[in-house]
Amino acid sequence: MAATTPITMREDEPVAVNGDSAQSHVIETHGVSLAYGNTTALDDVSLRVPTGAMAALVGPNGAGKSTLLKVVLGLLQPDEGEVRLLGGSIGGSRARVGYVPQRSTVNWDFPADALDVVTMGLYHQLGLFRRPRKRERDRAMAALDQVGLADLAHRPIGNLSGGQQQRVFLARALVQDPDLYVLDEPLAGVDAVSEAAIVAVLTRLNAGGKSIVAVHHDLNTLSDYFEWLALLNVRLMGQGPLHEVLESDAFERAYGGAFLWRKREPRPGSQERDELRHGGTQSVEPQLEGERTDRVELPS
Amino acid sequence: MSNFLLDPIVITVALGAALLGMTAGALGTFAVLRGESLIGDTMSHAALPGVGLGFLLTGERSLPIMLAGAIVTGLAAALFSLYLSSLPRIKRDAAMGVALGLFFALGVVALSYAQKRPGAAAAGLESFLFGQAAATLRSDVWLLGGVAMLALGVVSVFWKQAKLITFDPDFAVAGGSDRRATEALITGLLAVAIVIGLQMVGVVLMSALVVAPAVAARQWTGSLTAMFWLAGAIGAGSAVSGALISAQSSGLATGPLVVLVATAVVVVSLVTTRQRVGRVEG
Repeated sequence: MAATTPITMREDEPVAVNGDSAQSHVIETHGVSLAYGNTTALDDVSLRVPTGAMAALVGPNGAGKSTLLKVVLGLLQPDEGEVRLLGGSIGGSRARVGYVPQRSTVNWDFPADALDVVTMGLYHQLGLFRRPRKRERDRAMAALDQVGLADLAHRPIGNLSGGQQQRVFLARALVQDPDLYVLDEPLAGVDAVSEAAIVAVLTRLNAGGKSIVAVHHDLNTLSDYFEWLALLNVRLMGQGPLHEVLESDAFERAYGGAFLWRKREPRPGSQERDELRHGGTQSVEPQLEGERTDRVELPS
Repeated sequence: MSNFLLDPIVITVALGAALLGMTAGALGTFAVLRGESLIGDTMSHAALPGVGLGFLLTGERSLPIMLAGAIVTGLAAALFSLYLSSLPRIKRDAAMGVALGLFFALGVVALSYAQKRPGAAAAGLESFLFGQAAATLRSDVWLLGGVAMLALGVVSVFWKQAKLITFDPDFAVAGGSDRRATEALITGLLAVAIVIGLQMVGVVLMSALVVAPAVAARQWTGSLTAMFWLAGAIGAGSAVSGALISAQSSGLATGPLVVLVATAVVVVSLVTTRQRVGRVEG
């Protein structure tokens, strides 16, 4: 209890914005807004993910995370704002982007085996008329091998576990050899083996210079897997190197008191260590939203 | 029996049935996998006013004109149901139900009116309701065959696109596919498959020849290509069986016979593959 210290407000509004204008960005959105009917999904979002980032996009349910990814990929048109992808237009850059959608968005009863689905990653490179041949199937097999599923190449996709299905989706992006990977909840509902396999692949890709942007839901593993963070709750509450964002009040503002951000007492001579706690659990007193609303201001 | 099978009229009927059954069954694969079986039913019922209008315009039995009319009103009903379901508080199935009922009612009115015109009996308008294989002419078979080959050719060209959009539209669009164009193509081909079967199977039951073969084929295979051709083979077999039985026993409508055969194949497929799967897992 005594270790909990109140969060200090920062005066600068957008948290940890990259001041380095010379740095290149794989994703840049400028003032993107989008509404579904009367519901605002995204409000004036200006996301700037630097090239080579291992980035997580985090926020509560309904925060617009998937919507933002879809805008970035050109699947949804924003009502306002602009998107630049890999320094160019969406259309001009999409061949260099590998998209891993949420597993739940497709019908897994579709008649295909794992190798089939991975080969689909090459369809756009093949163009309209060429058919996948041995060369394409070999590449698909190599991608399946990278996610540890070469043995299951000919298993119907409906007979794979959730984690294996997610790895097949990752392999379908891998086979395109893109510069930027965009993943929507790649670790949601997957088993521990699959999670380790997916994280290992993403880490290796990032070490090899690829940029990774993933929607992530598990705040406990956030700092284990990612180095850069964007916090979204309809508005962009913060973005930047992971620890800079964690040290700010951006989490509070994004989650509105559902999560508490606890700072440990810094030990003398050691770097400050931080830890996230679920509100109301453990020994931490939950702070009620009302206590804070008077002093928290949303960024405009 | 052997004389019956050598009859040139019977051969014509069987050939026409095989072509339209294969096309409807094969193209039905995409409708079933996309969960759009009901849109086939809507389009086939909505083809009826087009048939009637085609006859009223020309005043004679001109199959190409009647089928063109069927395509137009069938697609109009599909678009109308899309519009309805875009309105608040109207679900997709309710929208299709409304469109189906409206267009079928219009079709029955148009047909009743057309029946009074001279030459209506010769045009065999009634056969468009439940199908009459014996009403098929040799020139019709050329038309059906040409359209069927064209439809299958178009599918084979756009195979990768159709597969990708059917399995994972978001991934397809992110990679540069045109979702609307591909879906329009699939729906358009489905309309073609339905319309070429109208005379032989009829508007009321035609959609069963689109759906049942694909459902049966899916039980046997885990590959889209195999499912497509197997559904085509089951569709052809069902259509030929129904047409031959109908042609032999004059007066029996073809549509119900075709659908009974196709449904029997579905039942056998379900029972057989369930046992097979059970053995493997047990």
